[in-house]
Amino acid sequence: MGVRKIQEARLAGSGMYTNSQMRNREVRKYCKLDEQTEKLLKLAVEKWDLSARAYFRLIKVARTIADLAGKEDIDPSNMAEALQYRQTN
Amino acid sequence: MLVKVRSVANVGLESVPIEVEVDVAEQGFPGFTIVGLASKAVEEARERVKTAIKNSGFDFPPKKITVNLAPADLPKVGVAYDLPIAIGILAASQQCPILNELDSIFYGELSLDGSLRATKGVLLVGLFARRSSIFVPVESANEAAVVDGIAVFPVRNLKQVVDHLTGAKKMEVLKHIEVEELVGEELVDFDLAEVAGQEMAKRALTIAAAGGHNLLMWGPPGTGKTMLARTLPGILPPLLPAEALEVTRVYSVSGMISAGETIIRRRPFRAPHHGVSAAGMIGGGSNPLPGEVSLAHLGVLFLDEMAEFPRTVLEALRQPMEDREVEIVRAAGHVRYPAGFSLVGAVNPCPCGYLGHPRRECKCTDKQIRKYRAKMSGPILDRIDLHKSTGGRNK
Repeated sequence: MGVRKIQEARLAGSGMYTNSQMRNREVRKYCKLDEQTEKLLKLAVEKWDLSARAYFRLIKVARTIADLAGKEDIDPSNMAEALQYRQTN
Repeated sequence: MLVKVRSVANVGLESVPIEVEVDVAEQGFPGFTIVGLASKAVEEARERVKTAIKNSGFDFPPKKITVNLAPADLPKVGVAYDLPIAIGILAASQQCPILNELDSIFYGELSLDGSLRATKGVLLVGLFARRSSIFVPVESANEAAVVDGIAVFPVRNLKQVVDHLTGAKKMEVLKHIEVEELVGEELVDFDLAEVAGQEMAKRALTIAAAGGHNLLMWGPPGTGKTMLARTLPGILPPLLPAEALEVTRVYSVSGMISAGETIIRRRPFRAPHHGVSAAGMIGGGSNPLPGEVSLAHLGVLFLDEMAEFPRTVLEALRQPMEDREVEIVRAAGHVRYPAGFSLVGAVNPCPCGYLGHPRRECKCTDKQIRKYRAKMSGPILDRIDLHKSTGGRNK
């Protein structure tokens, strides 16, 4: 699975190997969100009253989805897919 | 005469040097005492060592023998001190020289016939040894073969070590194996393509496997939740060399590496039954051993019928899910084990299983459903990144 290689290379030297292992600091560093994606995420957080933990976890999942698609940056469709898996009730 | 032999105690995943001091005194009433906070298993070493020495064709000196395991205030558990104690007695009674191997570490359980039995924790001993030699049971020796810069002597029996020390017949050093040679091979035996339908769930599973995220699958019985989860070992990537060492350390102290095996190459997939106790899940015992969360480190912890697990067991997962390690505190001390697993759960939507099923009717009352759902608390659900229904309705 090449997608693990992408993550490994990104996190090389940190003792971490996968997106799920990233701490908030790495999330901020490696998961830049464009304006539209950020807006989508903020909207969801507000609407569903999501926790800060959920916020960071969503970005990490979106990062993996973008990696699976071989994309450098997270785009709104990646975030939308990540949001669709979030439990909201 | 007094002789000192080096050995190692494993406390959790940490190794502590142990000096096995053996004194065979000419004066005094014949006897054999072990001091230094020895547990029952260590106390019993007296009988094993005595018989093994005799059965290997050596003399057990009929003198006053005192063994001290230093540092004396650290509790000693396990059977790995048999070999250093036996070597110490033989050296102190001038049946074999030890001078040339003062730096060597001796570690292993003796059988009554003088042969060595597989002993847990050999990889940790190897990692601790750094540049010196280790004498370990042949069946467990391969674990240490991956460690750089040490000489591993695989010991079949006590006589072999004595012959090596006297120079009568030198033992051969185990061939070093590079971790890189062992990992990286594809070990796929189950493929997502074999699962019919459930495209959406397969996608969620792929994301979870790719990024190591947590996944919960909801659905009526027979919609393939367990089947999907079982495909995970097949689609998970092989362990990286550094990861393989981390995983093998945990399995080595648990004594879960089969005889002759080197390192764990497959990503762990643990599927404990819902009858598991909190100690079994998190780790525990008076001398705490790793639990399921640590055995699943860098792999998957699969909880089938997640709502059937005792609530206390599920809640205990919260801390390791966040910190990726567990600290187990007991009166005797505390140990830390890694617990970086990704959680994959499968649950029915209600006790009868058919809530929201397109054709079958759900027989549960609202109260039953609420009680069932309440088993999995908000904090646990908040830590699960991917929620996926495998059919029926998910809320």
